Amino acid sequence: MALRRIIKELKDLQRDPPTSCSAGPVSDDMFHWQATIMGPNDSPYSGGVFLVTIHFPPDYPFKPPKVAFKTKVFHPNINSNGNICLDILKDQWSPALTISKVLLSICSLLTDPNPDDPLVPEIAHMCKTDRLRYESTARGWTQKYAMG
Amino acid sequence: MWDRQKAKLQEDIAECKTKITQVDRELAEINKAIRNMEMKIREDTKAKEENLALAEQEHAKRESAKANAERRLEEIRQKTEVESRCFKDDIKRLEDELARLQKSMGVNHPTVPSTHPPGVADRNSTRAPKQPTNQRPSPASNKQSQAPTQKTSRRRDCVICKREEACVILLQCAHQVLCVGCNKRHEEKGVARCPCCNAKVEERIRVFGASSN
Repeated sequence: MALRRIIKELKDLQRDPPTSCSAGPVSDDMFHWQATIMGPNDSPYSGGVFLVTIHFPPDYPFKPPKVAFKTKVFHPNINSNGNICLDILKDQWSPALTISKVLLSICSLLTDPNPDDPLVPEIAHMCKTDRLRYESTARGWTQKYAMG
Repeated sequence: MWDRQKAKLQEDIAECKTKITQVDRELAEINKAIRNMEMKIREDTKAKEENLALAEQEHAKRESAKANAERRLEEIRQKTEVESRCFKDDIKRLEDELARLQKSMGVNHPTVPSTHPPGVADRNSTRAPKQPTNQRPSPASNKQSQAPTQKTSRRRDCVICKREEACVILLQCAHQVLCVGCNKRHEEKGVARCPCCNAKVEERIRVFGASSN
């Protein structure tokens, strides 16, 4: 069941790839994918290419996939381990969602962080009180870790 | 006496000679004028003939132009007629094609569900064991009775497996987004929320379209 759904999603991704995202299995294991997310143009992460790992649970799509950043990101909702604080990856998951939609949601999160539900309180505080410093630091991290 | 008469006669003779000379000169002039007039007449005649020729030529040219114009007009009329006929034929052909396409589109609808007869059979076989355990026979039978009157619509796939036909309605939101198998798994997993709108699921009703037998 889960395998058929995952294969279907892979075919859909290959036939109609979303903009600024790409994803596919790492090796023969269809339950372990790797994805790349281009930093949105209207965000301090612009120009960066962020690596993301995706692990599908055995009872996917009834349970959400585990998605984590491999590239370091300066973001109030993403911690140093790469964990992402995104509601659709937790309690708001729905079997109707797909990896394509999840990746697009992460892109949206990069453009519009949510400091009111932070994973890294220090960054959230900076995001609220000193926006310019937050943006310049994020841009610096992007140039350092997500380029080249 | 004789000398005076002789002188007088000589004067007369001289005077007549003078007159003769003058008349001769006048005659020469008149002859010249006559010659000139004849030449002029000849020229006039020639010019007249030329003009007549030109007039004739002009007339012929005009006739020719008229004939040409008429011929060209006829050609244009014929060409227009032919083009008009061609356009009418094109319009008729396009209308026929449109009618054919509309007909074929209408015909296409019933054939789409029939491309999955094994699925339908599988769903029926899956449906059968669940019948005894069904605790809401009345609503199901009501839905079944309504099935024949339902309009055949385009097939919608289950949002979970994206393969089978979505034929289960979740109440209260009335979303028809799950197939029989995924609905069963959805229920077994204890998921009590609609995948589309996250509303609480209170009832799951299997529905039958014209293609579900």
